[in-house]
Amino acid sequence: MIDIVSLVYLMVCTPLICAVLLLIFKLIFKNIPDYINFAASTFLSLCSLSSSVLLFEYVITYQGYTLESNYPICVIQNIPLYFGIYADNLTSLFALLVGGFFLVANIFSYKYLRQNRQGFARFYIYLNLLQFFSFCFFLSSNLIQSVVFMMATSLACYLFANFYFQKPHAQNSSKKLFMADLTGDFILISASVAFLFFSTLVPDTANMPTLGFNNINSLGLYSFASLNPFMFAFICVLFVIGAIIKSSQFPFMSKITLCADAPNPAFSVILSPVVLAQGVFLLYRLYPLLNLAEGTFEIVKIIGIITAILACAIALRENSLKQFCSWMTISQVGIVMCTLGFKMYETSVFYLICSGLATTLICYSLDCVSYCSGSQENIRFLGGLREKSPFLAVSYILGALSLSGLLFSGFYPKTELINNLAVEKSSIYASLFLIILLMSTFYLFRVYFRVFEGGYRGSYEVQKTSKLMKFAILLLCIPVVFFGLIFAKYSGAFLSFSSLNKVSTPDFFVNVFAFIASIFGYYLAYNIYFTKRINSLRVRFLRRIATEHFWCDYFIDFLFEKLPLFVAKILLFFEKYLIGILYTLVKLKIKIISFVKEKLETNNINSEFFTLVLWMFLIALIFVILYFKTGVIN
Amino acid sequence: MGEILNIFILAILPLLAGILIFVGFFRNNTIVIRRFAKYFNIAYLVYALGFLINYNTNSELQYVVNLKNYNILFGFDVLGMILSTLVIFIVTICMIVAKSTLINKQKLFYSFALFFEASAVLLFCVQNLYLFCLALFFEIFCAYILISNFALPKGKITADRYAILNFSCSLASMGAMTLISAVLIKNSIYPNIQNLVQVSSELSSVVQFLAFFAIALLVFAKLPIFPFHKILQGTIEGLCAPLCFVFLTEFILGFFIFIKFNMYALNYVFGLIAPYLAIVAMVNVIYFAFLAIGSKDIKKSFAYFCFSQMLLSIPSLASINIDGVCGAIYQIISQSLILLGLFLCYCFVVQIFKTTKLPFMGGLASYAPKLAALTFVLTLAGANLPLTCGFVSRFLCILGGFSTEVYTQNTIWMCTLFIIPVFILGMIYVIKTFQNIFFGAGECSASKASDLLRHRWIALLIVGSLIIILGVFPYYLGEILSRYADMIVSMFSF
Repeated sequence: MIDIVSLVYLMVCTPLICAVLLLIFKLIFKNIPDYINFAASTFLSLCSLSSSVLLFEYVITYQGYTLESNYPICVIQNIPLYFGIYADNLTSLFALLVGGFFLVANIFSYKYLRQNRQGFARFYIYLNLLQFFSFCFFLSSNLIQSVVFMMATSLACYLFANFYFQKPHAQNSSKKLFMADLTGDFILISASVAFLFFSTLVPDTANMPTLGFNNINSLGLYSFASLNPFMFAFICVLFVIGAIIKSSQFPFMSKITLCADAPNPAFSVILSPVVLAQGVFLLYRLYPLLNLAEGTFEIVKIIGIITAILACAIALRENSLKQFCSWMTISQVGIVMCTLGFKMYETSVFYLICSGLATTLICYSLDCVSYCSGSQENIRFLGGLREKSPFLAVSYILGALSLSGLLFSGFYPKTELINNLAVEKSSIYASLFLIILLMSTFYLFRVYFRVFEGGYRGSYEVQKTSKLMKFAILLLCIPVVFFGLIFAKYSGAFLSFSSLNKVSTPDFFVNVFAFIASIFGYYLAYNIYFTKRINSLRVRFLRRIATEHFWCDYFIDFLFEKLPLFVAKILLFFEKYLIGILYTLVKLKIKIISFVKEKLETNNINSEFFTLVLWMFLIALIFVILYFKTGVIN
Repeated sequence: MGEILNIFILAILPLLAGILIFVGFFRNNTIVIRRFAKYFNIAYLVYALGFLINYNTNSELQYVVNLKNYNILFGFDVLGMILSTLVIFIVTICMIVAKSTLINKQKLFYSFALFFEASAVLLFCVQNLYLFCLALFFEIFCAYILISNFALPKGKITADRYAILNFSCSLASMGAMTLISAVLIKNSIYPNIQNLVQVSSELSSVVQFLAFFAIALLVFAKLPIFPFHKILQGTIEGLCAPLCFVFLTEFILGFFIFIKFNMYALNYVFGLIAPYLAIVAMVNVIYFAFLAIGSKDIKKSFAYFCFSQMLLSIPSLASINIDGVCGAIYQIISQSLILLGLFLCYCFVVQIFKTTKLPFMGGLASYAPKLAALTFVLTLAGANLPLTCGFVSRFLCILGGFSTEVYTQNTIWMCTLFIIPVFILGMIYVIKTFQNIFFGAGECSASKASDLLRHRWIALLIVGSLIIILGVFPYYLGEILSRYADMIVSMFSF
């Protein structure tokens, strides 16, 4: 009988085994049939999911018991680095999500790739690698392992973004994406190493495993008590900055949109919480540490709310389906960050999972729309798809209702969040949240009315939706409908940090306001885009800056392209002219001396004597000039 | 085993092999010469590895040659042993690659490559100050011959400048060594490096300062800082793939001389100026990292990238602790391997495109997938991603920087924090270059692009594997380095 630890290791390694097998097959048999790739990958993904279900069941059954195992894989200067697993309630929940999302991606991708006829095996290899890295990240037992696998995830995202590497646009955007991702990773790794050093300064922490998550609380407390508070706060801020970059928050909002050149199913996986919210997950893990540094959560809160509002504003007028999906997801992650900033740990996790499920369902539905309409991404050339594919319309509506907090899973975390904000008496944030809710409902139904209602505006004949795709979407619909209810009922059992939660008693008026905000958003979208009784509000300035993505694209461009190039150009100028002149002077001097010597030797004159006379003449000349110019020589 | 592993033999072997080729023992048969040089070097590498493997059990690491009552002492420390093995490895890889690149004057190339190797190994193991200077001049001479004969037309111009700069700086350092020798002889002490370390604290501070700056001049000509970099940059621009051992050995030698003389022997001065050295080096690192991004010539930008990566070892050394010193040594080893791999890849790319200008490159991935895959691995190593040796070195550098105990701790901390932008700038450079060459619009469709030849593929595969092995299993190397670092750090008292 296999024990649970071995099962977890097997679960983690299954995607890697699959990727290696597919790679070997690809190298040995040049043209293996597509369905073999699909079948192998899907079967092994199903095995992973089953294992993650067993892990989840185990963790829920043995409440309060954390599964942990560590293998030292590398020792750097007597510092052992471990590869291990740390499975508490939160981890098992995310492992379950990873298994589920990747199974859906495997099933969904088959038909999509058949249509594109390019890189079938390559896609499945990348997908399995990404799954392996995600498993390793969520189950990691220590901080260093987390950051290392975050870097690996960045690499997998880059590979996907560069999937169609012949396209110059894909090349350019994947480059920026990788740079931005690695910047976040480097900041995180530097912060981790600094924390590793400072935490080992305290004698009490000497015997603790290297930055293990099981003792991050004690490490934080010891370090906080005995170290320079400024240094401690600085390290915490570095962690927050790294997480902000990784989770594509303001001002790095447009980072994730750079992935848009990836194949659609892969893009949906990247937008799902198992990849995009890795930065947020790291903050969950570091919660006890960050809690000690005053002010770090304030940064998280402010950045989160700014991101949520700006991303909503951009999504309001976005016409490209992929871009719309990415801005919608960023906005939801922004809300999650803001919630975490208020130290509402459980609400934040709850919101992240529910919104993640809904956004992924919407992404897949819209991917399917794009597939049916011949890769049409622009909503201006779509419409009337409800009649042609009613299944997609229903699935989209399910996701939209959940995300806008009107029904299904999304309703519960939204209610919890708005109540908690009311209890905190942070009226500004509560009102901002209501505005975000209104905007979210508006943009979700705007897209619905533009894509699924009215008449079809495209030229391509709409295809039938594939059964496999429908099945994949159906798999997602189930948790979107039921997860919230189950979580709300058994939240104590789901999260080990439930003591950190601040669940308040429901406030009737606050809930009514939230409901009205959502309904008002729907009402506006309905009247502007369906009945067309109201004209769309066009504030030119707002539209322009939303089109510019609030200059977030420029920011990334500036940071990784223009700024280094600008500084480099100045330095190159300096190098070329200043150093060039210096070297030219030396060269000139050598030339003059050799010229004079040559002349002297040909005329048979004593060269040393003549050089001496020349030098004396030169010095005399300088003195004469000085005398006439300044009059200082008497 | 101790009888077989003889330092004198190690130092003399490539010299003999070079002489064999040079005097025409193989009757100008280029194929035989090439194969002899290659297999000799592989065997020589195995022999050098024997020293490294038997280091713990075999203490026979000193050898004295008696020449008319004049004793010449040869001795290996851990650093010398590791770095000489590294140099031999680099030369071996270059000889494997040279097969289809160098067509003419093969006799001259292989003989002088072996002479160069011998002089470098001699520098690592010789303890006598006079012989050290002699080996230094011989090394410069060999490098000059190689550059002036085998570099591209662009590089041949810089050969003279290279020789002049290095000879001048070597003369300065020779002056310093003469001064030290005179002082030692005056005190009836035999002038060698071991004795210098033991009595360095008794030397007057003026002598120590003079010697320190004179030797630093040589170090900064080899491990260049502003404004000495211009000459080595020109040299790198002109070098072809099989000659890359010349500049890589220069970096390694520069670092070795710095750690051996400036840090270990003249520790009093180093302890005083360590923070200033760290600042100067860090400014240079950032300066070169920016220049690497800005330059549009692949080899020029690579040269700047080399300088920025190699100089990063100086701030790490300036932190004067075990982690920092180990990090610096690991940095030199890992970057030598990464730069070797990257330079070879870039040279092959230049051969395919027949230009060094980056804007005229692109879309090579479809035509040369093997080259693209290997360059991608090396690019990731250049960006210091985990599971590559670059990651380990950066990890140690940061750790060492934070755990410093020098008198101006905050300065070193600030320098350590500046490693983050260096990380990012280096990463920007390697990724941009890789993307520019291999992806995007197909500039290479016109030039008949071909993938890697078998021997090149093997050479790059060996380099890539070693980078990954050192990244995954850094323990063995780290363990022996930490003992050496401990020995160095114990010279300093805070």
